[in-house]
Amino acid sequence: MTAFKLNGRSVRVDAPADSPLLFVLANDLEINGVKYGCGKSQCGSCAVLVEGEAIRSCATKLSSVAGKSVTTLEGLTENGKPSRLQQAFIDEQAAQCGYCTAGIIIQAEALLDQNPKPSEAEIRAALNTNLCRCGTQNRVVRAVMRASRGGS
Amino acid sequence: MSTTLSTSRRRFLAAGGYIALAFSIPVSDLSAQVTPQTPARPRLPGNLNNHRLLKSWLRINADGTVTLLVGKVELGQGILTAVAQICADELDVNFDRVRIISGDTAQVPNEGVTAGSFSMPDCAPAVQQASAEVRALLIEMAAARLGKPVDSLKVTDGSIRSGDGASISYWQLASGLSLEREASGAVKTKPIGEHRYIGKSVPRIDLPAKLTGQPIFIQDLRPKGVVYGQVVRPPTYKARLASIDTSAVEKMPGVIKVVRNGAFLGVVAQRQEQAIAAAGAVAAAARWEVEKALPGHDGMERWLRETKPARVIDTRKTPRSGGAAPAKVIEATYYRPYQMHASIGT
Repeated sequence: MTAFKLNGRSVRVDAPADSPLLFVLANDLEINGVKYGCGKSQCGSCAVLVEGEAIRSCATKLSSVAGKSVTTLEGLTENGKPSRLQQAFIDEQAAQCGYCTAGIIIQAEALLDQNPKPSEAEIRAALNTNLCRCGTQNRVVRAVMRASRGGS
Repeated sequence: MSTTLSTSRRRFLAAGGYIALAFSIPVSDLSAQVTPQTPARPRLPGNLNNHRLLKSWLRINADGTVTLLVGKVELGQGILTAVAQICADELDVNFDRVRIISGDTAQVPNEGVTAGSFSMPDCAPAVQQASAEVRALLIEMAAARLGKPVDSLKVTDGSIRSGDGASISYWQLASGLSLEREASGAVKTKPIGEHRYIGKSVPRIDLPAKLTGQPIFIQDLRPKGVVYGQVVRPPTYKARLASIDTSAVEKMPGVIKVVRNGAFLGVVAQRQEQAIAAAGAVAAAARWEVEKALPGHDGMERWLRETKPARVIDTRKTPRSGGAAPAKVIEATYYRPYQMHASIGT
């Protein structure tokens, strides 16, 4: 049994301690906002925040988050409404299939937390290892810039 | 198993709100419910020709909404938003009244696979014509109820008004409307100049769910008692399975079954990570005979050029006779590598 905090609430999960956090979140805890892409820490679609830092949950063992605070895409919403960053992605229509976007938003959240007014180059650098096959990169950059400006 | 999945899917669809998600079950027969045609029946636009009943496509609801039923599914191409735009324009209702049920095979017309850019040519004209015909039926009903000629009535967002101020709405007429009838093909769709939504950029209706973690992807379906499977693919096209000993894999944690059917290999396990690990072990244990003649990625272009074509497409190196001489001739060769389709999240 491993206990940790998930999107602000305490959870206990009965899964092997060495299970990838990704599959524990997606399958045991029924979290939608974390996606299995490559399983090799290469694509970023499984990114979640652990203590505010973006990590790749496919390459993170369940045991390593024991007692820690984990935030996923759904945890960013505020009273069921999209956060400013999520709304900026909606406003810029910054997704095509949307599968990788969960991880991109998490990575961008971590960036804005540390650097609320990033330059375009800083945004591109921060999201460089979040892969999108559909080709939404420019819209993603615009969405993060929009969120950093306060949503306008 | 299929019953469990079906029940769970219904719950999932209900929970997912108005954007329903489809299973991508391969359908070999693209139009399984083709109605036999007689010469007297008109050719109808797109898939309306195969699914001719108006109720297959539309429901007008007393609560002020419209339900649009389509067999095509959202893959990120924006199809549900596009057909909702078309429906709203032809029905004369505001865009946000349109609720879509997509891909639920128990409810929607069988439109076959969603692939090959066929959704707009096949589904959209059906939605357009069906919506125009339902609008015409509602106006006829309104004319009878209000005692006014059809020509004197105008529709704004589902509200039908006559010149002297008498009015009735689609939602009031909904309970008396029967869509258990075939489209006639005789109703004209709107001229382009009257479109409010077609041709405009409308925000995608599937994105808020995708960007806030609502259940909308196939991966978000979690049937009770689900176990996890992985397919072990051969290393190349035409590879033959020479031998495999699966006994060690069968003892791995969580493994329920190693599946071998001819050269098809797969595993089933209790947990997804266990299935992935077992699939890796199966791949390592399999011995394949690989055909040597395959070109590989690097040699693909040369191989294509050297291969005798099965059919030669007509090529012309001179401009058409009698036409003006070309202002400028540009010659270039373009080549792109072989593009593999790979499903995501498996």
